[in-house]
Amino acid sequence: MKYKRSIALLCIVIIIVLFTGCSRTDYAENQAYAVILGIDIDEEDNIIITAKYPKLSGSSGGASGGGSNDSSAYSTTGASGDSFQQALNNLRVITPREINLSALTLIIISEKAVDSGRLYHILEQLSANYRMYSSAYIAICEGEAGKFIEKQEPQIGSRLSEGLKALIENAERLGSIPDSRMADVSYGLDSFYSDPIIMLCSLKEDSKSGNIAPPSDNIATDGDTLYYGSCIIKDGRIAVKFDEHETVIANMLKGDVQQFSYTNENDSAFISVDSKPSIKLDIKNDIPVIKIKLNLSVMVTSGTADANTFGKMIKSDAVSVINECRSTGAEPFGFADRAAGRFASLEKWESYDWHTQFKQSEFDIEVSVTEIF
Amino acid sequence: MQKLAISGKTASRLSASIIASTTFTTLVIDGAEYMNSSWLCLILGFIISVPIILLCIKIKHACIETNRTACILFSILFAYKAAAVTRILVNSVSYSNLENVPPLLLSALMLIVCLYIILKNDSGIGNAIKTLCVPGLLLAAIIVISNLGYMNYRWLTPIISINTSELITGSIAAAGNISAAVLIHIVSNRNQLQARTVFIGTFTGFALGLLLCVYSEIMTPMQNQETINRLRSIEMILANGRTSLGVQLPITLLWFGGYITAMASCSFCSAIYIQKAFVSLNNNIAGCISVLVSFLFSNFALAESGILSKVSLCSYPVIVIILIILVIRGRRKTVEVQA
Repeated sequence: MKYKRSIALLCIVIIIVLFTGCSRTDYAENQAYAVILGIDIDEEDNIIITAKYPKLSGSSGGASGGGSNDSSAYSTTGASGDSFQQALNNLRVITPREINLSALTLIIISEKAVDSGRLYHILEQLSANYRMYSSAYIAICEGEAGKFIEKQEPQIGSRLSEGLKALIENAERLGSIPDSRMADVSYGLDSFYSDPIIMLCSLKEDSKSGNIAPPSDNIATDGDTLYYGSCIIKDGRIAVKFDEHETVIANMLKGDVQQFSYTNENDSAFISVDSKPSIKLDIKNDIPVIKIKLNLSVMVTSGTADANTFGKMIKSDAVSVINECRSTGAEPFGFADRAAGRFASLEKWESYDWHTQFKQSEFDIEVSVTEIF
Repeated sequence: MQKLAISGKTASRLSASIIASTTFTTLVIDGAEYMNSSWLCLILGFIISVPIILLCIKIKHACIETNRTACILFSILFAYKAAAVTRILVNSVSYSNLENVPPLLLSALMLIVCLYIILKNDSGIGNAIKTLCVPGLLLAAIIVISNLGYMNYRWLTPIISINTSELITGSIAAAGNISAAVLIHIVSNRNQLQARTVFIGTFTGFALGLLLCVYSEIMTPMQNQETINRLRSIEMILANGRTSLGVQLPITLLWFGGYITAMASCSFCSAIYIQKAFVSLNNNIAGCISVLVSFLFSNFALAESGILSKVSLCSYPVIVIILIILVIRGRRKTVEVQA
């Protein structure tokens, strides 16, 4: 009896497994797994989407992880349309295989597309796509996203996706770019709290920050492409741009960086953030007061400045970064999350108008420094 | 013929499973209007439903059997809950890359599984829940631990999301779901039924529901847009945009495992009430009727979010009235017997 039951159960399991063949099967050969997606906007306000995906014939190619930097291992296809969805549909038509967004690593949106005020619309339509991987990194390109994607090549011995992840994670660890994921940005654009912050990128030849050659230590570079700094999005448009140095300070204020190297002219030091910044808000008065306390350990690596001087320099940088944000009302530091807790309902929170209050707020930054050797 | 029966312990597990799944569905999946204060609605709902729990303990077993109308109403309520869970499951399946599967066939298959569990009686449903208990807790621990870095407790504020009227509505809806689940104790084995068992079952369900509500809200900030569709709600909870792909497996396992168990629990409760209303029915027929009613509810758009939220709101006062009537009748009968 026991055996009969086991055999019956085994038969059922086998039949269930066989059922999987009854539906449409997505073979890997039928799919074009987009690794990078670029979004541009042309003169006529059409959206252009460019996708980079591995070729099937990519020899032992970067696509299969076999260890080639052969650029022919990847195809780049572009299409345009009135709306994002229209452009994506056109891209699907001209791509020989089915565009699959489940392995997407990076989304590059051109600065022009963001400035057109269509960022939220683009991300909303993108997230509505079937099998969209919403943890993909997102970056704003100071130039054409399509061109940038064409220049983005795999490194020797790694797949393009893995190479990109390694590069971005390393830059994030150093604090020179923020952790900007598609879902975070998309939620942040529409949330009741702080504004989202997105990493910047550009081609070396397009970089507006001058000819960055050779790139500084804090700039993540991958051949012809650069990943550096950040921008804050307010009301769907770029409000503030930070270079890599300001981004490190902004990340420190957000509590997103643990260690970073700090350079000022001939002085340089290795900074370790001992604890997350202690932030206290006083919103009882007409003008909100934000008190920030930073605990840092400083290891001087070169120059004549001592640890306390570095503390003062970091404080001055933090004030400058906050003031830059305050001038536009954009607030990426997470102060809004804290302030919202003082209100009982959303109605009261919205009527408080955080962004206006933030513009006229007062700051008190205290930096506590411990010298390490 | 052995009738459908349920032990006190299984009833406790069943009510926990139903409370967790239905409150989460009503307040989070279908309740975009409650925004990030669904956890508070659930706490208030639990407090409101305490008198119902006490009433359920008071009701005499014989009393429910003699009141056919109450039994039919309760069986329809449970069949409706099963349909609502079926609908969520069908939507979740289409979300999980199986968009080509016809919902009709899918819901039918899932309800056949429920029928099988019903026919296995107390041991079937009891074991189904027991099977999920330990792995479920382990999966929940994996999910929570791996997402600790992404959680922001400040996103739970402002506490009263939109206004107090939404908070009251949410609390009553939650109380409706909790009190409906507690009804299963009325038909459980009275010899084994103790107030402690009822409270443990209810409180476990409440704690699980609260954990689910808090987890889904602590991971995503409150959204400004007016309408968040169900797919987006599910995506925000399941994928979340920040949850690593490795955690998707435990989330998916827990999601489907939990909902299938809840669906079976609701169907079983419906079948047991059908049998109480029509004593002559055997287990097969009672089970088939229960599953068929759920199938009809789920496939005729009767268990869609708009109607479900209204049913959840109405179920609390309706259950209160029915239970009060049953308690009064039970007392009269006791007095008559004593006289």
